Amino acid sequence: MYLALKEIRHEKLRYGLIIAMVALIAYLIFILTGLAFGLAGENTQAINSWDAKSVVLNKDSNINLSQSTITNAQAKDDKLSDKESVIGSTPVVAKHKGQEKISAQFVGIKKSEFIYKGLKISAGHKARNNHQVVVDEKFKTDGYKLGDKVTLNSVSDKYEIVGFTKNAKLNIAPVIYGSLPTWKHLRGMDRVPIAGSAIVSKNAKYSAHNSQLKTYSMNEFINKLPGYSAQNTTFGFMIGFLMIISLVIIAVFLYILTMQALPTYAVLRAQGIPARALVTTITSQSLILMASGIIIGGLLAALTGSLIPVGVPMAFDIPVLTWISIGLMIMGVIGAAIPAQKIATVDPVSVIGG
Amino acid sequence: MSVIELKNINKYFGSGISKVHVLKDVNFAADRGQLILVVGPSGSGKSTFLTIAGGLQTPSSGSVEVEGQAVESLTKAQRDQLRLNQIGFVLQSYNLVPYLKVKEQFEFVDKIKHEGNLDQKELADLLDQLGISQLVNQFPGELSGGQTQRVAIARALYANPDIVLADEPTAALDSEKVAEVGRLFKNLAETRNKAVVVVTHDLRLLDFADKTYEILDGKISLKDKEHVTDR
Repeated sequence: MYLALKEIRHEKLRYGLIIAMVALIAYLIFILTGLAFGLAGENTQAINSWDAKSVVLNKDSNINLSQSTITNAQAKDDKLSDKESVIGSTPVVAKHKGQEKISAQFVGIKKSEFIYKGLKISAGHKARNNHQVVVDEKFKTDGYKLGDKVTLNSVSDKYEIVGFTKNAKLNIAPVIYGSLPTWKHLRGMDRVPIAGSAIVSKNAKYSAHNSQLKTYSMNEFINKLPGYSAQNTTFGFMIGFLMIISLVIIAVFLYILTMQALPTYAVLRAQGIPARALVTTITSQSLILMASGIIIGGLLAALTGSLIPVGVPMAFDIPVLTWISIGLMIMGVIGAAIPAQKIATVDPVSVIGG
Repeated sequence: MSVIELKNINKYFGSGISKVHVLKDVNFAADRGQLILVVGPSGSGKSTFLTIAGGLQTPSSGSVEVEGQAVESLTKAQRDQLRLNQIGFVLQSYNLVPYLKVKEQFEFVDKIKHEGNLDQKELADLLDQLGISQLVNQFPGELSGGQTQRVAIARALYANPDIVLADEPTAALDSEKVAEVGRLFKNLAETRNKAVVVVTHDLRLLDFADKTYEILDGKISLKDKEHVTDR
């Protein structure tokens, strides 16, 4: 550690550049992770707020909420307790004079069921009739206010915003909570005997009783959300590649620096300095460089997070970022392995005579 | 008893048709308080002699004893300890860590070897004796060749070894500096009771030596300074 710190302090520019490289990679990884979690969160915020463990869909819906319909007859077979809620979901475009159109997800719910009861309102109140809706706060940030009467799709009826709720996004779209009759009206199925799109349950072992319906775990359902898995896999690959790039960078730099300093290490070995002490030096150096880069990268990411526009979905999950930092430190140790092996096997005889 | 003794040392490199007999039945002994020169032309086997004497290489046959202990019987780690505790090297490349200040060169030894090093007063005396007290806050790159060499000598002596092995310490020095180095080594051997073995092809150091060995074609012989071959 002594030699490691002294060399870094003496060669500030050289090691500063390496730290800058590590910091940039760490920054990029943190930002990508933040975006991955932010986007993943916007896919599932509403679902998470329900705290549901399973979902019942039409078995032919390909685990797609928008493609699923449950008829009244099918719903009747399922004895719903206070842990189940029927929802009706459909994509809509909300419009209000003078405001931007917003693509949203309409979710019809029943007053008597747990989603309605558990809905947390940040401003206003819950919907009390079929012409009132509660909307995600994205509407507020886009200029919508309580009392605004919006139209949904090309339906001529107007719906009054009576409440805002936080963290209500489904498949990235802000959610509009209304009633199930409104949902049926929006789908043009007022007279069709359907109950909703799905039954969500807080009971992980809830099982559908009708053969046309199938129960899925919430994880299975979330992973089948359109684009969700592809998006997470893409981010995962990008983060993985960046980890590997960080490993290559630290290994290449340390290797070059070690090869340049090999005569010095040979002299130290000739003087009887144990190889272990010198290997510890290169490993410590790698850890110091990685830790410095990670701290700087983390600070830059935090600064970016505080300055970035609200519309950019970014969520910093501290435990995950801690694991990523530990992963980067491990990359640093692996990166130091080849130079360490060079040092451990340097021949001290090479510096004697000539 | 000699502090270091080489008995019937032979060293071969290569095998078969390319086998080279570098050291041939070398016998050598050094006592405390003596400056001993080992001279010889390039390729005579001086460096191989030094690396075997310093425990950096093992001989093909024969024995090296330091304070009566057979070096070839030691493990690699024990030979590291031997070099750290009992042998001080002064190398052509000056054995200084380029990014440590002069005072930090000694601090570093303390980090590795916790006992038996010179104390602060002894170090101050040594630096005074070598005339480098004022250089403690300098980096090696800021020193002249002569200053660097004296710091390297101080570094070799700091761990308080019994033996100092110096490899061509006067390479590229003018006659005045050579005489200075010669006096310095002789003085260190006498005042600090060390066995100082200098391997060199520089015959200008002959006047300072208590004993002179000559290596020619791998064979070593004790010589009067008048009879050393000038090549």
